[in-house]
Amino acid sequence: MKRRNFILLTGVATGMVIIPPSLYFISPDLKNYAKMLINRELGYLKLEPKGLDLYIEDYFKNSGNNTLSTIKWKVLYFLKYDSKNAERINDLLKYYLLSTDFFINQMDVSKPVNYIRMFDPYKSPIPNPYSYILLPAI
Amino acid sequence: MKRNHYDLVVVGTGFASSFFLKKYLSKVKEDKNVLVLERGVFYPHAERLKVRKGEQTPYQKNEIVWNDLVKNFNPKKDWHFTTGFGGSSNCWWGCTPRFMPSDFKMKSLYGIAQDWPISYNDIDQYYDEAEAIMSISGPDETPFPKKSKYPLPAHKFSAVDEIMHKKYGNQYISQPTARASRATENRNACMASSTCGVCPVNAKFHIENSGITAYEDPRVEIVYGAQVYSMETENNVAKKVCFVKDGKDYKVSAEVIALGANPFFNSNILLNSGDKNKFTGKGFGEQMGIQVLIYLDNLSNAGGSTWVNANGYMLYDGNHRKDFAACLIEVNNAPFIRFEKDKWLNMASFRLVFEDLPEDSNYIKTSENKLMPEVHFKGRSDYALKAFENAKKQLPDILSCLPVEKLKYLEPFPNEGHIIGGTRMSLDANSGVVDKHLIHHQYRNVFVLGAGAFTTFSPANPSLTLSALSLYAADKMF
Repeated sequence: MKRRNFILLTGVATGMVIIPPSLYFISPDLKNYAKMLINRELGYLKLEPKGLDLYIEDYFKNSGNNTLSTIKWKVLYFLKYDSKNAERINDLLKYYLLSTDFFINQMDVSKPVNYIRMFDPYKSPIPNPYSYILLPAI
Repeated sequence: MKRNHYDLVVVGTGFASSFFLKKYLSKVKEDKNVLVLERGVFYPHAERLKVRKGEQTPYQKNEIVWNDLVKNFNPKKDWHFTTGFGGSSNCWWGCTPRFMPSDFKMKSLYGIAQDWPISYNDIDQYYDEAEAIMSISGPDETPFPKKSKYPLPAHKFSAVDEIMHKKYGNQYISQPTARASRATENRNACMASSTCGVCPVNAKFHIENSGITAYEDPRVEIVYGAQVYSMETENNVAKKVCFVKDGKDYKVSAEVIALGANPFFNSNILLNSGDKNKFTGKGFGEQMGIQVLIYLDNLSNAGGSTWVNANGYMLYDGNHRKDFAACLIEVNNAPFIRFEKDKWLNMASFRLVFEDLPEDSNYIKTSENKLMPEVHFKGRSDYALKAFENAKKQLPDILSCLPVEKLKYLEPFPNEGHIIGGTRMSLDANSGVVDKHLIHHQYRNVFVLGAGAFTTFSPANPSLTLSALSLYAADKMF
């Protein structure tokens, strides 16, 4: 681990030094960190906010919302991890885009991105975006 | 059971048993009696779908996990299989490339392992027949010899596939597959869900939707919940099949026995029966699969039409197999997404599938529980691992026709969903367990079906070949 990351991580884990204590104690829970991570990487899209909140609720429905989970997501956010170097973030973002109308709208960045329901071939009508059903081979 | 004695007792209802039984019934007289012993239940596809949709169904209790059925001594290695009517046709992903002719001649061509006692040409017509039964979708040109056309048209190429096919011709083809490209009498067309174990739209072939009517034939009686663990033998003839049903032991007498369970249980049955062949249970394994993600600049890879859209043979055949394994490339449409603007689908996903060797250090043996075999898998051969190192060197050049930004290799998969070997086919009992007709060298009234009989593994998926072998064996012997 790089020295700078180690220092930052220590700060996050203990709520000291690098992250201002006030931010730590009043910081939002893991769902907000997850939302902030999505906004940071996909901020160039018009993400419909209520749908994004609903997605976050659905995504974390079956996972823990405890102190340890919060710290993990907080670490990812403050250490500036992104989808390229953290599988957890990659998964969060991937399922978000797959669960919206983004690919159905042919990846048109001028349109708002609306959450439909969690991507699941058994429960959701949203096709795999790599399929010719949505997009032809160019 | 209606009788104490049957002309044929078949164990299992998966690919191996079903294709064997279909051919057998087409060749024998109407007065024959067949008993089929299936350890699981009939668990319909529609009910499996309900479970995946989160709906209630009384069938849910039949979602049995593979590692509750065997004693696996390597926690890093998984061996997925499904029990119940249709066996692993209920969990396979429908990939059906044929083996290459060279796969049957590994010793004479490359000095590796053993030759099979049969050649590609011996089973060519049975490949055709199995492909017809499964309504395989596939291309007109293939790297393996094929005289007939596939029953259904090939799946559509993605953008990457188009470029690769243009460069490599029949070395890069639309994958032959049992995921239907068009609706058939019993199946819908594939929707490229990339979730094929239980197909969300019933596009994949499995025994229930196969149109195989063997189990409704008046000559056939099927008993569910029958766990076969042994045979009683006398003077090298198998006389009775022993099984447990509802906690009670049963025996049934048979003229001929066909073991069509998977290699773990076929080996367990033979070993519990006193089989002393030194190869029984030995040398089982499967291919090694490693995923590589190909990041593309300015090329969206949309437009594919099924889970594995294409197969690449550029690392398969050749003299390198003297030193390291063949590799079959599976090009899949798993929804890997990028998040940089305008690059969301600029990604190709190749699964490198390497053959492995039947090494005796990987073996199946009996345990104190007669129903539960021990599975001992030490690990991959250097032959397979060396092939991966070679693939990493070769891949940049192979992909030079694509605008590649970078390659990212993922960790090897804990399983490929195949169980191969354990009852290998050979010319004689000194070099294997069954002969070229899948008949046990010692017990001449016992067929040992399935991928357990493969002499060597090939990188190609096994289900089509083991189905063709069942047709071949039944056709030649009845």
